[in-house]
Amino acid sequence: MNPSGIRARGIEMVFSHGGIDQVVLDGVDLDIPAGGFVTLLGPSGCGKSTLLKILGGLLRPTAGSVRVGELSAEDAVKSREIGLVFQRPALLPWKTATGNVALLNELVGGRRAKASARATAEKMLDLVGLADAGSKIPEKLSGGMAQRVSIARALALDPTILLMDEPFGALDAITRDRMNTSLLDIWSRTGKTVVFVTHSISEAVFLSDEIHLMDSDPGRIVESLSVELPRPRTGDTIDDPRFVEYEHHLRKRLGSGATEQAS
Amino acid sequence: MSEATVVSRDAGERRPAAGPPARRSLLRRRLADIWPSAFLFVVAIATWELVVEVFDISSFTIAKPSEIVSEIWEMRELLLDSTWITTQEIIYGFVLSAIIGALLALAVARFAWLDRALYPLIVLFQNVPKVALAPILILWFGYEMTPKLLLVVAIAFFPITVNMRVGLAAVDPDLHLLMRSVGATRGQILRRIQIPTSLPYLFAGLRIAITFSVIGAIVAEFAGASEGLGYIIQFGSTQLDTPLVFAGLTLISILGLVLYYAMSALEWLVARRLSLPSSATTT
Repeated sequence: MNPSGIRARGIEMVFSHGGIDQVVLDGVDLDIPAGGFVTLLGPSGCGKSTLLKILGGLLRPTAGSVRVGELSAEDAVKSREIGLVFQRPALLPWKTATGNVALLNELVGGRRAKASARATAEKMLDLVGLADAGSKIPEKLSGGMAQRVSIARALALDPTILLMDEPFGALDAITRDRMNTSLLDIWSRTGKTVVFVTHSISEAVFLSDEIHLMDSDPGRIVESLSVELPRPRTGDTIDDPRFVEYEHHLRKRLGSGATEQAS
Repeated sequence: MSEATVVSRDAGERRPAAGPPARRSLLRRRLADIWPSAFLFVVAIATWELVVEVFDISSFTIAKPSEIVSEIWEMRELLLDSTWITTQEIIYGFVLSAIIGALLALAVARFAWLDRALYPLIVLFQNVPKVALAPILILWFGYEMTPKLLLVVAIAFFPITVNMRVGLAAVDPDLHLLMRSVGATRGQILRRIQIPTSLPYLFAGLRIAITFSVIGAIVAEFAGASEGLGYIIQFGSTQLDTPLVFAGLTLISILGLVLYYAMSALEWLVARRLSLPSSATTT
């Protein structure tokens, strides 16, 4: 399947709590190119997770429109173009890694699909570097491994778009760096469109083609930035003077890094 | 990477890599856990025997442990029959409670309007003293099995429903979102995610319910029965046959204990089979 881009226009999101309206997103326009790696970067509470759900058709905005490729966001969900990865792995504790990855395919394909679902699951686990861990239950997996399983699960239905909501936010710094490199490798091999939410500046710069910097009250995009660092990106990338420049620029925009610390 | 960029939440690896201790050492630890209470039990029984003996307390007032044992042996046929009757009442009543309790939980979890309509009434019913229902049930259904089962269900379904309802709602919201993202139906989410998630909660409820079932059966027998351990206890007390009363009490206690541990064993087996996290307090 060819990857789809996402085109969002005039997205507004208002939540009402007991008669008080809270504007979470105010007039967001966004173009995400097919096959691109795009990051929504911002402090907690800027509506980036909400925007991610709206882009994936999992949440209906108060106003505005979202198109995924040729489809409306709702239809994109129905035709299973959306894969999801969350901050926590959200695996079923009673299923093995393979069972967890096969879950959605089994659900969609019914009983007859069981064998093919497992075959797909094993292929996906191989892709995320967990070929040997298929028979382990989540309890036996480290945080990083569990998150790899959840990425494999998101890829198993072969979606065109991967939505990732702070997927490495709960991991330690070392594991996180490894996962970032790994994710780029998976991305380049599968050619998915990735929309990635984070509040880590360096993570955003390291991973992205494009960064949309967001701010809160109301949530909006304040700057869009193309990251023109060569790929494949490696450990050396972070020593590139342009990497440091990008980081510096973003940190200044976010208020000397204070926002990042606070979240 | 500079200091500020390495900020990551400290949660890190959430699960310690260490596996569970080997099974044999677990068994040895269990035995080590048991012996203090076994020791205390023996001491208490011996003290009981000695006090009654030394102060020459009449066996109308309190039976000695040795008397109870010989009473059980002498009346073994009657007591065995009675135990069997009561066991049946408890188990049938318990199974019925489990079915009704679980179905109720599933129903209120599946339909939000039913939860709003039914759940307050279930809680309200829980506040009716069930013991007071016993005479009415006897009045309606006579001395047979039916009123006993009904009373057991009235007492025992509640912890099952309450626990399982909580368990069904304890599903990770991210998983819900994930299931919805592939267009899973409510029924599929219930079957594949919610029910397995709720099992440890269900078992916690079942363990409470099994002890409640014993109470329910005995209370129902007190209110009106012609057989069973509850009946034996009441009969013994009207005949001033204190050793018989104590014999009945002893057997009920043993029965309750056996059923409780049988329940725990079942839970352990199921939890191991499905690799569920077992609900903490398996004593």
